Amino acid sequence: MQEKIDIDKLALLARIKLSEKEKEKFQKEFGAILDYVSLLEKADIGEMGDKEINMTKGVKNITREDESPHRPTMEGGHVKVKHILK
Amino acid sequence: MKNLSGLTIKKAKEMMKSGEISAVSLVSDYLKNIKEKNKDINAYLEVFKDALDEAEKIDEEKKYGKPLSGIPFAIKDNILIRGKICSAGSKMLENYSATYDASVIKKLREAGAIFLGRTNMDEFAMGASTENSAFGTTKNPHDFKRVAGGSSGGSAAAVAADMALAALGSDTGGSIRQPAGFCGVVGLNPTYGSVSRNGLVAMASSFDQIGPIAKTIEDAEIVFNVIKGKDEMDSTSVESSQSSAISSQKFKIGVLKYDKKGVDEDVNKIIDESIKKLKKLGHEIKEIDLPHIKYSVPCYYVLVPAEVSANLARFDGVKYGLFKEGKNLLDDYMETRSHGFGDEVRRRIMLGTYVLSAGYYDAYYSKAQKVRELIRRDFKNVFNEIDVILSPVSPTTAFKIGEKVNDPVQMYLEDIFTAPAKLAGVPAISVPAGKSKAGLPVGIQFIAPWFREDVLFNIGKQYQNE
Repeated sequence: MQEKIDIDKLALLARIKLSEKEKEKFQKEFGAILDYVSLLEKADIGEMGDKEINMTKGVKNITREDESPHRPTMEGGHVKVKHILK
Repeated sequence: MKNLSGLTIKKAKEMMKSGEISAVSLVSDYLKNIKEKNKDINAYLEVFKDALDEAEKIDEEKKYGKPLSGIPFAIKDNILIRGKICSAGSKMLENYSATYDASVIKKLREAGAIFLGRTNMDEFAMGASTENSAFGTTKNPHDFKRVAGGSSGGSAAAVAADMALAALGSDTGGSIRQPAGFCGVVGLNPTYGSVSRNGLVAMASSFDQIGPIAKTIEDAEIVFNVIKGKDEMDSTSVESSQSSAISSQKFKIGVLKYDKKGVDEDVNKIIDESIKKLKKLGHEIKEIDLPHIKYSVPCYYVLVPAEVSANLARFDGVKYGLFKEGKNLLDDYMETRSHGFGDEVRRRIMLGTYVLSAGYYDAYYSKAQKVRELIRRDFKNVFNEIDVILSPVSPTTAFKIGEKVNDPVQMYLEDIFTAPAKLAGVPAISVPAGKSKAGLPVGIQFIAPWFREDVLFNIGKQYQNE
């Protein structure tokens, strides 16, 4: 099922920095894991459509009262982050 | 008190009421045990200094009438207790102090429970051995060279080594039942939605459930009755609705058909002995087949990483938790997440990102969702014929520290008997059933239909009391 994973692209999408050694290690492990999960290909799901999947329905987000952030780089009541626009 | 090992919640409460012991003496005895044993076992990441103060309050007011008055608890370190560190076993949250009580903590507090400390776990509950904790491995109290199981290994070891009378854990793929089995205690994974997840550090939200770890079925039942119920802060929580009372003490038990070659001889033997014991108790035994559960582990390891990658996106160093400065904003995120997360967490985030990415979504995520539905239907069908399922908890007894840590797929296969119930959302309990030749605990698992924890407690007590 799978082609060789583009580990650089994947790590960037996941916002995780990897060393060259780690890239090699994860690449190998992902190969083994995806080989294993590709057993799913054999499962016969027939004509099942997305709507037949049993899911919790009608739920909405519930939030508690907000708290101030705990970031180390606070200035007054503001969170200081690096600029995005140049 | 000399013998904590024979103590149960029920006994401790009777002794407090009769004045034989006080909450302070009970808590002191447990603290003493922790002091002696924790350096070897590493079940607790922190012991709370205010535990004795809380016990004093209970003694002063003689409030022994509540369901858990003065009962000393260990709490898994992914459940928020206001004002205490909640690290989830991760460097990311090493210094994070909880801003509110989880709903289960509120309920335990109201019931009079005392929190002794927070227990070790695999980082963000990802693992089956606590070897993925950023703060060292928890040792199995029965053999320090072996793992306590995971991810709730600290909670299970604490109860098994009399460092707490009961504990809370969380179960996503087996994280309550497997360590309970490895340590020789009882672990309940409740029906999805029956216990509030508000204040539980999220891993995979369509799987995560909080549940009790205790020494007896009866104790697990007492704790479950305190923590269950609908909570307005968790929209997936529901009021447990049992359609009918248990009509007969004699059950139709379906013994799960499985490949015995893939399972330790000791475990197979205990299952055979358990079948005999249950027959002797007058239950009807029948072999059952759940045709799709062979896909459980692959299905689980697509869906869970997908949910993990979404849930853990919040850890970016901006609002709370670790912050490591980089060259620019993107680099801030990447540095923070690389320093804050260990290998298994990074592995699952990337795997989840992969299965959700364009071009792969249908083949992995969407397919796995449908296979999950097939597994759910398997359970639904089989529960038309039987009342409860019997199966192993794990294919092995507690394995040696380091044995599986470099082989993720081997570690994932630890979930082979515990993941199916999670995919379906049904309740399951792990019950101590004997020992292996090497003297390690072996558990058995009962699985019941949705919201039939009462069936699990009933059959479990019959089994345990025989």
